[in-house]
This record gives sequence, C-alpha cells and structure tokens, in this order.
Amino acid sequence: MSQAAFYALVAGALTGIGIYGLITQRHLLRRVLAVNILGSSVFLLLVALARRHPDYVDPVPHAMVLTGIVIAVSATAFALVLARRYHAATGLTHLPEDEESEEALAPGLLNRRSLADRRSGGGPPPGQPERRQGARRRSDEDRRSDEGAQ
Amino acid sequence: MSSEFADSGLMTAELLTASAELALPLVFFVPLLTALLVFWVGSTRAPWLPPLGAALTVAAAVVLIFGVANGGPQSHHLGGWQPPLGIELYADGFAAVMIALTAVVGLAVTLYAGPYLRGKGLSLEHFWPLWLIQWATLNGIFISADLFNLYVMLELLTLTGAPLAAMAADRAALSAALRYMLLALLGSLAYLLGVALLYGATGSLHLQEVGALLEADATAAIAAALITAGLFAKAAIFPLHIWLMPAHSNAPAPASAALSALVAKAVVYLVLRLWLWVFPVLLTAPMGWLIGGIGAVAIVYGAVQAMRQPRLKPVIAYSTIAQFGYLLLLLPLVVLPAAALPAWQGAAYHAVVHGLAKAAAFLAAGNMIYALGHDRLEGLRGLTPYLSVSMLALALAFASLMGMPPTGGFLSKWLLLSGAIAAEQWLWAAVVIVGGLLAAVYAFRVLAYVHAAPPSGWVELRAPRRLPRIMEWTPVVLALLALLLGVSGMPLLQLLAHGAPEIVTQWAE
Repeated sequence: MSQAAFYALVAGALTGIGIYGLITQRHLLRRVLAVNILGSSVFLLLVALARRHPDYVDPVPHAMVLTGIVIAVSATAFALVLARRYHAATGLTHLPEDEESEEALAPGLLNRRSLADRRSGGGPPPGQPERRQGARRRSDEDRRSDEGAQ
Repeated sequence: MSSEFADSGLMTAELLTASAELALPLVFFVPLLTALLVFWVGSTRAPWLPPLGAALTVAAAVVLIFGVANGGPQSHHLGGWQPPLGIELYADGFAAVMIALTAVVGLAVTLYAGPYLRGKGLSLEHFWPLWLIQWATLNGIFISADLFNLYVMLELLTLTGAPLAAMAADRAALSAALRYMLLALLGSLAYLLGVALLYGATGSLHLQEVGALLEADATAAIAAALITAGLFAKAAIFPLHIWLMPAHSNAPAPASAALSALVAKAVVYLVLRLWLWVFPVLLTAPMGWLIGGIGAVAIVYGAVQAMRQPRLKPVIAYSTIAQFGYLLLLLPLVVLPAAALPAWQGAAYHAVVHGLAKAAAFLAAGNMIYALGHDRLEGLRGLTPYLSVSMLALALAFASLMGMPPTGGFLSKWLLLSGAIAAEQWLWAAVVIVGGLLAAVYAFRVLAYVHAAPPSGWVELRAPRRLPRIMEWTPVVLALLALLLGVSGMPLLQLLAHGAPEIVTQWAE
C-alpha cells in the first residue's frame, strides 16, 4: 500500500471517530475535541491528496491545510470561550438534550401547562422574568383578592 | 432602456460599467476593513464609522450591480493571479441580485441596530465589527468562484453568526449559539471534505472548471452528498434544522434579521449555485426528487411548527425553515425543459423577497420586544395603537411570505407554480399551493392576536416604551420593498438573466 493511500485510510477512520464522538458525547469539551479530530481527518486527506502524483508534491492542498488550521484554531478558541460562558451561566457541561429542557431554559416562553393555568385560573403564567411591572402588580392583587375570597 | 440613458446618463453608465470590475473586490474589502478599523478605534470614539462603512459598501454594491446589468457578468483575479492558483471573484446576475438584497437589508440592519441595541443595553462595540465582517462574508460568498475560498467564507459566516446569536449572553442564547456553532462546524468540515474529494477528482478548485471537468462517478457523488449535507446543516434544511429556531429567536432583533434573511439564505444560495454550476452532471430526475422532497417536507414541517409557537420570534424563525423549502423545489424542476426558466426565476426571486419580508418581520418583532419587553403573542392583544406602524410592517411582510397578490411573494410563487404546471409536475405545484395556505394559517394566527380585544380587566400600569422613529419605519420600508417587487418584477428578472446557468439556458435555443 502506498503512503498516500495509507494516509487516506487513516483520514477515513478519523472522520468516523470524529463524527461518532460529536454525536455520542454530551460533554461540550469532548464535542469540541470531536470537531477537531474531524478537522484533522480532513487535513490528513488533503495532505494525502497532495502526493497523488508520483513525481511531485502538489502545493495547493498544503496551502489549504495551512488556512484550514488557522480557521480550526480560531473556531476552537471561540467554541471553548462560548462553552466556558455557558458553564458559568448554567453550571452545566452539556447542552440540554430535548426540546422540553430547551423551553425550560428559554425565559418568557410559555409552555402549554402555563397557558392552561392561565386560561383556567385567570392569573398570569408563573416564572416569567420579562414580565412588566404592571402585570406583576396585578397578579399580587389577584392573589390578595383570592385569599380574601377564601 | 438605452434611450433613457442616451442624453444625460450615458457617460455615467459607461463609467459605472468600467468601474464595476473594481467594485467587485470592494464589496468584500470595504466592510471588512471598516470592521477592523471599528474594532481598533472603537465605535464610542467614532460612532460615525460603522454607518460610513455601510454606506460605502452599498455604494460599491450599486456600482457592481450597474456593471452587471449593463456589461454582463464581471470577474476579477485577486492580486493578478490567474485562476488555477489565484482566487477569482465572479459576479453574474444571481450574485448581483443577492448582493442587492444584502445591501438593502444590511443598510436597514445598520440603521436599526444603533437605537435598538443602545435601548436594550447591549454592546454596540461588539456588534459593529461582527456585523460588518458578516456583511463582507456574505458578499464574499456571493462573488467567490473558488471552492476553498467559499469554505473560508462559510467558516467566517459561522464565526460571526454564532457570536451575534450569543449577544444576549443569557442561558438560552448561549446554549443556542453553542448548538449552532457545533452543527455549523460539522457542516463546514463536511463541505471541506467534499471539496477535497472534488479537488482530487479534477485538480481544480474553480467553480466553473470543476463543473466542466467533473464526471458522474462515485467520487463526484460522495463529494456532492458531503457538500450538500454539510450545507444543509448550516442552512437549517429540514432534518438538520433544530439549531435555527433557538439561535435566531434568542439573538437581538437586528442580528435575527441578518441571520434569517441573509446568513442562512447565503448558504442555500450556495447549495443552488453548486448544484446548477458544479454538479449539473449529477442532477438527474431522482436526485432532483430527493432534494425537492426534502424541501417539500421542510415547507410543511416549518409551517406546522410556526403555528404552534407561543412567541412571535419563534414563529418567524420557523417560517424561515419553511420558506427555504421553496428554494430547493428549483432542483427537481430545473431538469425539465418546460419548467427550467420559470422555476429558476421563481427561486431566485423568492430568495430576494423572502429576505426583505423576513428582515421586516424580525425588525417588527424587535419593535414589539423593545416597546413591551416581551414577544408573547398573548400579550399582543389590544396593543395595536401603540405599535400600529410596526404591525403594519409585520402584516405586509406576512402577506409577502404567504404569497398574497400583489406582493413579491406572490410573483415568486407564481413563477414556481407556472413552471411546475407547464411541466405537469402536479406534486410540486400542490406543494407550492399548500405551503402558501399553511403560511396563511400561521400569519393570520399572529394577526388575529394583534387585532383581538385586550383581556378583560387588563390595566396598563406602565405604558409601552416609545419607539425611536427610525426603528418604527425601517421594517415598514423593507416590507414595502417586498410589496413593490410584486408590482414591478422586470428589473430584477433582467438582472438575473445575466450569466444564467447553462442548465437553464440550454432549453432556450
């Protein structure tokens, strides 16, 4: 087997590992690493491509790899900063998995239960940080009048 | 046309055509250099710098568009290096149309962002460089004729889009930006893998050269699959759409408008550009059906999700997922002689009209958030007097999105529909019609809230915040432009005809 073909095969294996990692791992650091492995696999394939002619080395893929590495470094740096900020804000090291938890994270998003509460009880939906002053005061009045009724 | 120019404008027209080649690199470098300058000087010290950069970018775009309209496709070799090694910039009608859209929406976003972000207490220092680099990147995607250069642009799009989505810096925005970032990185690496395979197969990175050299073999098919899947992830096309709604609805309104109307759109543009210019050998009828089918599912899914959202911005974000489906309907229709031309015109037209309407809708939603502090549909009841101008913009934008005559949305859907009918493709015709009806459902659901009476016993203890006039009118102007495109479509279609893809023009003879 030629060297280039061996490189290409390793690149294929790394692609598999990268995609597998990105899909199965939940920890953000591992996911960023998986993206990096995937990136390295593409770069390895490009380096292998540069040797596809027996007589000379094609410089264009090398230039592509160099540019690609610069981009990968900056993208990784930004993803890591974003992950740190996310961790600082939530204390979590992984993204919420399903839509339910996504809704729990999004402030001001009514879910169906709070809508139903509002319809039946007439009171405003709970847990809304963006609520206006007026609405909050109104809800206090509601509660007071409810207590009075009881 | 020429007689209008004959007396006064002939010299100007000639001058514009001559300087169009020069304007080609400028539409990329002017916003980029302005962004670096703003980052260096700081926008508090030079608040006039970002608007100036935006104005110069628009000026360069106008010169370029005039050049394409009068002199046909323009090309420029960066640094004088010829294509095999150097990077070619190339602007045909399709690129010019998208640059025009970007200039209009970009100007609106630039005007809107200042008062909005200042009023919401968000950092303009960070917004300006990101937004201007993003503008440069968008123009770069439209004019790059080099597959690897496009990869760099795609990554830049992510690296500016994700920070804009994260600007609110709360839990929801950060998790949305992270999800966007990871999926977009996966997408661009899949794209790069495909480009590597194409380079291995053809030894070229030039769009048209690769298209000419490519043979329909297994390597080309794998490359096309990787590139298409990667771009689908970045454009939030149906099964890979999950990141779009949280990212676009948690971003500040001007960023949402740019992300939805331009950024994701530029990626769909690239899908069409690559399939029509690079992969036409692979574009068989079953392949068209596969991609068109994905588009059809996206149209229905996005609209159904949009109907279920309790907040305004998620409705508009899901509508984006649905509207991108129409653009994909081009691929099954373009292989049919009777449908190729109207479908091509309809898809490109749709890209422009959707961009204007979507930006108008997001900016109108931003006005609501600015005035009321939230965007819950329930809270919209009875508030029409305070937000009447913004709601007019929203209604006009929605009318365009559902394709109501005489809006631009009607014209684009009519073109797609007439293509499908001429080629007797009843399924695609039905998809266009059903998609419009579904869009009407979610649009009228929102408008019904706007016009409903306020809940009984509702007392406003705090009046809604007053909107600066520029924020009030920017979305209206965008929505009116979308409307205008329905009344007068010829200039845009004439511009589009310059350098149309061979797969469309081959049937004309």
